[in-house]
Amino acid sequence: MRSSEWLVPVGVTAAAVVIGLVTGLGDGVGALVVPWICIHALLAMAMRLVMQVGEINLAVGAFYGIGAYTAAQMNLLLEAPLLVSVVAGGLLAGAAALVFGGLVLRVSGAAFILVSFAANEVLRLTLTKTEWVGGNSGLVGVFADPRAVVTAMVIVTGVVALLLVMLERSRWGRQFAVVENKPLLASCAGINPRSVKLIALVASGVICGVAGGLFAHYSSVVAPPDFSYMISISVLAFVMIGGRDHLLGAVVGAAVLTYLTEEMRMFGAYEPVIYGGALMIAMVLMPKGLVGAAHDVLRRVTDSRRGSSSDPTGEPSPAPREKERAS
Amino acid sequence: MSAPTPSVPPAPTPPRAGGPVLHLRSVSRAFGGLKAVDDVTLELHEGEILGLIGPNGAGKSTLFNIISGVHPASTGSVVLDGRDITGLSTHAITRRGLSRTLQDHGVFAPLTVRANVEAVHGATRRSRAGRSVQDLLEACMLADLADTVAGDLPHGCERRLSIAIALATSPRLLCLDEPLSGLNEEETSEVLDLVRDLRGSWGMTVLFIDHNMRAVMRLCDRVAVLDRGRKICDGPPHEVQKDPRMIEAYLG
Ligand SMILES: Nc1ncnc2c1ncn2[C@@H]1O[C@H](COP(=O)(O)OP(=O)(O)OP(=O)(O)O)[C@@H](O)[C@H]1O
Ligand SMILES: [Mg+2]
Repeated sequence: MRSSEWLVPVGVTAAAVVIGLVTGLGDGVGALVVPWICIHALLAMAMRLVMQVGEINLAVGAFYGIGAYTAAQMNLLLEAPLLVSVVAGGLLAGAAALVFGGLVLRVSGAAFILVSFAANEVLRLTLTKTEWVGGNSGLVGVFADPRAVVTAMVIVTGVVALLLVMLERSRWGRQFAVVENKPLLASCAGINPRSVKLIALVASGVICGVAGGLFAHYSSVVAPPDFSYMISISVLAFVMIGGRDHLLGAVVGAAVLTYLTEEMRMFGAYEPVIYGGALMIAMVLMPKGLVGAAHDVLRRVTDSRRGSSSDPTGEPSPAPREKERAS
Repeated sequence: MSAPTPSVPPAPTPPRAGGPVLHLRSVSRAFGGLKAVDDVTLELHEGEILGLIGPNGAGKSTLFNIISGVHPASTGSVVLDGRDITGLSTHAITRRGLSRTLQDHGVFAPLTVRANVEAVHGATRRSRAGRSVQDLLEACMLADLADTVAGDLPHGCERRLSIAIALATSPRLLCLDEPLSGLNEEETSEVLDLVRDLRGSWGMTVLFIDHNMRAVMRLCDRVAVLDRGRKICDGPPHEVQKDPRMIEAYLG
């Protein structure tokens, strides 16, 4: 890979990290939304990673919860430093994803969606009944320096985004696209679709766990309702509204929807109605999401500037999609 | 056309002296009451091009799917290079050196020609140990089109790309499923030349299914005929062509 190809992703990420740090550590609306944007962006990137191998994982909330509870216990029982607790949360969530994927990845599609949804709710209900993690009221009193937590959130989000760009451009990333769109071609090429899916699921679990660990230190309380399947659905909305074909879409979707939710508090009781309606309209009008729509507009502008001699062999979009017909 | 260079490294699995590359022993496959493949025994030797023909519904694709692990056989066994591969999954069979093309979706349209071959070439240790992506592209006469998006390729080039993808797994045995369907005269002869070259320069063993009878007879060393699931004859093209059972199968 030529180093010039890294200029754009590294530049965009660096700029986003600087903006995140400046606004997140200031005292405007940024201080309220930046931590949540980071958590949501991490979860959205994790959700998209599994979508890239063709599955929708509604157990995102469960892996997020495992990370949060692990990090909270590390902090409460062992007084472990922030980063140690967060890494432990990521690793345990990754291990949970490995076990979960090993057991259930024999199914795919709607069956996988349902199984992952059920797994999420089983975990949440188990947490409410488990006294040594606080039952219904959860774990309270996780302590960390708030500025350190926000700084860690912004930087970790940037690092994860860059790692995912690298993954997408590696030979694994190419295989993801083939597995998602042409599973039969993938098997004929010697690729085991199930192990590729498992790798994506474990990596996604680690990211969710890290997000959970950061959340635990930010909110200082973790409780079962924070990890219901509703968080998984919201995260799916971030990916789809942002645009699933680009990594940037996950981040933009998380940022825009998190910010709007904050602004819409003024609508009071009508907030969910307006939010839901806006989601429906946005999805129907922009099926490729905000980033996809922006990408199309940009291409139309450059094409018309170049005249009608647009080049059909132009660069393919980074997440190519073409469905395999049944054989 | 330029022949693939013989100086490239040989495939990782050394050929075993003597035994057939592929051996089907009494393979059958039933769908409900229908015997789509019925007690077929077949051998394929090192460096041989074997044609498999038969009227519509004869069971050719089903046999192909059994060999490549897409469907399991109901009974019988499949032996590749002396190792039993019956019941293995497709990717495991590919990793043991049997590669097949897919009829309708042999290429990944959104990626460029080179990216298609690279995605497969990077996938397994076996393929990375084999010929380089550039060698594969050159052998399949795709080097000049390397940066073209696969979806924009003309039919003939797309077909050769699907063969390049199959070759990227570094196979001992290449199975081609109707590689000539929908091609014009010129494209057909390009694919035929390619297959001949692969055998000539790389010593590739090939199983070739197609409806183009004339091409199969011209290309193959040996032809097997399937009819209603059964193998009805098997021999050199000039003998098979005259075989009354074969004429009966196609006309009757
Ligand atoms: N998945 C399946 N389920 C049920 N029957 C099937 C299935 N696949 C194939 N068959 C039947 O098995 C028989 C053999 O089909 P097959 O596709 O192997 O023939 P073929 O020789 O490839 O024909 P063609 O030349 O038309 O491609 C046909 O009667 C077909 O209807
Ligand atoms: Mg067929």
